[in-house]
Amino acid sequence: MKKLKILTNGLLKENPVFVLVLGTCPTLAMSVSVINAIAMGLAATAVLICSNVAISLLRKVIPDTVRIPCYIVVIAGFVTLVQMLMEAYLPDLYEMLGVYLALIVVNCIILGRAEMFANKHTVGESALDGLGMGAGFTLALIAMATVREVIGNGSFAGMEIGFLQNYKIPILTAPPGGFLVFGCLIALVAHITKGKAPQRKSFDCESCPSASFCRKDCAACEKTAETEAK
Amino acid sequence: MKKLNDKVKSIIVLTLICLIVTGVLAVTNSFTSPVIEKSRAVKVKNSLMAVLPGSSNFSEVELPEGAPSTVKAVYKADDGSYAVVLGTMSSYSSGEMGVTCGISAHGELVGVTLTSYRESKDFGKDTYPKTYIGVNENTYADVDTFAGVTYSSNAFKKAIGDAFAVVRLLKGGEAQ
Repeated sequence: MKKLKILTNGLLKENPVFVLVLGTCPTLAMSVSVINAIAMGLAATAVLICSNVAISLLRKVIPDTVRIPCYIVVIAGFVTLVQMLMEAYLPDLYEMLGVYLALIVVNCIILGRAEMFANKHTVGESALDGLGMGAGFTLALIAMATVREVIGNGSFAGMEIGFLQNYKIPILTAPPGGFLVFGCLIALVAHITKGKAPQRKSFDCESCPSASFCRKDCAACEKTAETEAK
Repeated sequence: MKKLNDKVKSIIVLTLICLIVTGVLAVTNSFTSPVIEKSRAVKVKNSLMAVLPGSSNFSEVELPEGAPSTVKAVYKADDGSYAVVLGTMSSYSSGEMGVTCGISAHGELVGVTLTSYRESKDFGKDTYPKTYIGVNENTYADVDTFAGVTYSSNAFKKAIGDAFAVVRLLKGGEAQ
């Protein structure tokens, strides 16, 4: 039951795009067409699963002080691996994703899950989390791309929808349209998950990736502020 | 002493992880690079046919001395026209811009195609490159750059200039 919860968490309740608001850059850039969205989602999911597994395996070996550089090296390694394989065997898709494929390295979802989940859980659970979060990311991209492509371009996955040709709203395929659709979908998900989505306390100091470094400074700052106030 | 041990351990772990990742990438590269090279070669061949549609037989010619460094290869067609394969970089790009130009026997640009460029999608694979068709060595510089993608446009324009320069050298002209 716990494993099923880990897997389904990323789909809606803790959707990385619409609830955690992570990975906004690739979401806005790659949601112009459904094909692009699926390709980006699958590439990010592959990297997410592999990096979560690797980081979970290494969690007892990696010293706390160098964990972020270690995670970045592991993630960058997997992204480069996916890039090489895609360029060799799926060149059209590789061209389509362009520079955004390499930018998966700095996708907050991947580093965020490594820090928040993979380094505290077992390999199996981390793989499930990667799969769930990846699926959530892919579904979010597909949902956004569907709205933008169908209404903005009058097509779905590159196939023209005849009766929509005279009713297109081209701004939806442009960056401002991306933000507009993004906002509307976040509002929709918030409405659907009312009371179920993680509350603000989940985003507190404790769950921040920099908590271990920052908390000490926060305490010091508060003390200084109190002294100054007195 | 404990702090020193922690530091040493951190360095060793990070180095080992880097080495393992490098090893995995080297193995992957060993079997993907031949496939990538092959698909690039096919792309180049298709681009030759695209820039010189009237020609079908191409023979690679040796690059002349003083050829611009952006020129990767030059092919001569049966009718005396040239197809020039170039790879250039714009100031802000992280990857190479691949351009193939077709220059007629009279020195006019008859075809051009962008074979690879991973940035500035707005640059357009066809729209901007096609504005150069019909130019020659003296007029190519008059083509306007593309608003919003100035660096890419300038890199593209330079590539066109390099193509004319290498053809001039091949025809016995002097380097400028």
